[in-house]
Amino acid sequence: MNKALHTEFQKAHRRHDLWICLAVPLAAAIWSASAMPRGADELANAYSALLYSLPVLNTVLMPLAMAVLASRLWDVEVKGCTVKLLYTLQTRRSLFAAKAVFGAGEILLMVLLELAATALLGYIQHYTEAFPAAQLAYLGVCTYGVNLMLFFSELLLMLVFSNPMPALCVAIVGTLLGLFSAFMPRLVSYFVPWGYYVPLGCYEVAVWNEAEHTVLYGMTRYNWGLLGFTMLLAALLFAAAWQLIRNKEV
Amino acid sequence: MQTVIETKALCKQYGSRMAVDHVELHVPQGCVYGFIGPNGAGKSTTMKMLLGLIHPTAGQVTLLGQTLNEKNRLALLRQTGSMIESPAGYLHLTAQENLEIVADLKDIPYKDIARVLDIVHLTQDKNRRVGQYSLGMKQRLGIAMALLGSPKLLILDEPTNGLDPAGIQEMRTLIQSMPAATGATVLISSHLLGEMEQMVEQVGIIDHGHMLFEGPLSQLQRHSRGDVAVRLLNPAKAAPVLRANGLPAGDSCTVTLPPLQDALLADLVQKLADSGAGVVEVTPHTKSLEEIFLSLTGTEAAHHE
Repeated sequence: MNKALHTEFQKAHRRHDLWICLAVPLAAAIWSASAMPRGADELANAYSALLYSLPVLNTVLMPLAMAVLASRLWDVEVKGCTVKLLYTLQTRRSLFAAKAVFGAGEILLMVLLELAATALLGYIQHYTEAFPAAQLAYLGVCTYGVNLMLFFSELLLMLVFSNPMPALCVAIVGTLLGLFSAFMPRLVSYFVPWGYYVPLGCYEVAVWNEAEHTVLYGMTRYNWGLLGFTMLLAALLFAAAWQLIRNKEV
Repeated sequence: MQTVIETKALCKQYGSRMAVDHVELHVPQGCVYGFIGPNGAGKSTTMKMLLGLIHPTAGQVTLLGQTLNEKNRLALLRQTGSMIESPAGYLHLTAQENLEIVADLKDIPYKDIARVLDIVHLTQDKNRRVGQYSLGMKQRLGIAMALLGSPKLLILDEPTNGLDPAGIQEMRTLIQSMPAATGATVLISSHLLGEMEQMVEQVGIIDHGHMLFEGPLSQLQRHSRGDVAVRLLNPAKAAPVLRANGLPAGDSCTVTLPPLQDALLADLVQKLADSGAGVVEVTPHTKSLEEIFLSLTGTEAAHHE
């Protein structure tokens, strides 16, 4: 397994996947920074506002990022016609495991960078609200779970079609559906996995003052049930991708 | 002579179609073995089964003296180099980096890379990205990957496909030299009999999944000679010469002769020229694989009678 993972790092050389892992948190940070809180009231509720908006940003950015990471991970084998060669040099299990671990590592890096950017933004913009460490950790776990689920779904598409286009198209359509579902009743959003970032969020609009155009964000309960379902979906998609690699004749 | 590859009743069925039907292959050690058949005959499918890339519907594969199974597959393939259908190579990496990946997976020290690059004449281009390589260079890189670790057996599926004439000649020379240069036994497939004749010692012919012939090339060549068409300016003057040699004569300007030994044919052409028949063209026809098969089976039937 170590050898297989080492070769995945060798293959990643000059593939510039790291830039994708950096670009997504950077885009989210720039987007969040542009809505800089002003005034004492906003600064006192700024982390809540940020953690409310981040799932929406993730709905826009993450599905496509997952499709890009997953498709590039397998596309490199398709373009290089290396699958047959690899299957004579290593087990299918070690190849799949290395790809899964490498992809999961890239996603973890992306999520950690996004969390770090959130904390950094609070520090730079002098938020006065207490740092919500537990909520941030929950957000990280939820984002990671949904990302993994989407990553394995896109990897599965890539394995089926041996072409990155279906995965990318599904990701674009999924992003639009996810975004649409974010503004629909919660029950609707449960049927759109690409948008699970939003119903998994632990913040909501508590008070909306229409006259003064002010919003006060408050916490909701952690959605452990949906998180569990997301992890189950991720596991099922992982298993489906593995079965495909294990059984597909090349 | 010890066999490096042996298959017993090897079969592969896709739906109702038998892609490979009870193939018995025997590749002797230290030779270049040509596996010949038209496109879709079952060559690649057989080779994939030899490498465990696809599972046989029935039958058995013995590689390097051991029956191939899931447990020993990778251990056996560590002693085998292969290139199936198209050359492999990560396009964004250099040849050196590609070979380092293969060397790591084969547990081979990087110092062997220089040796294989030298064999395939890619040393000068080892630091260029494979995406910038010509097809011929990619084919040579594929062979370099197969050669890493000095395998006892090389399985190459149509390695000259898509190459220009110079590339084909270079590849032929390279493959022909391998048993002597590396000690490897080579199994190479092609759909062109003429291409194989220049580099192999043993041949196996497959068509529609059936093994039609297996044996030394010389034995096959005896059956591959076809008719010879001779175009004449004056067939009337040629007729006595042809009859004197027991050959059919007619009024047509083109005379079709049965397969003849080279010396006999040269002698006959000389006599025709001396007679004033005006020989303007001699065209030997090479038999198609199917015709060779019919010739072979016809001969066998005659022997049995």
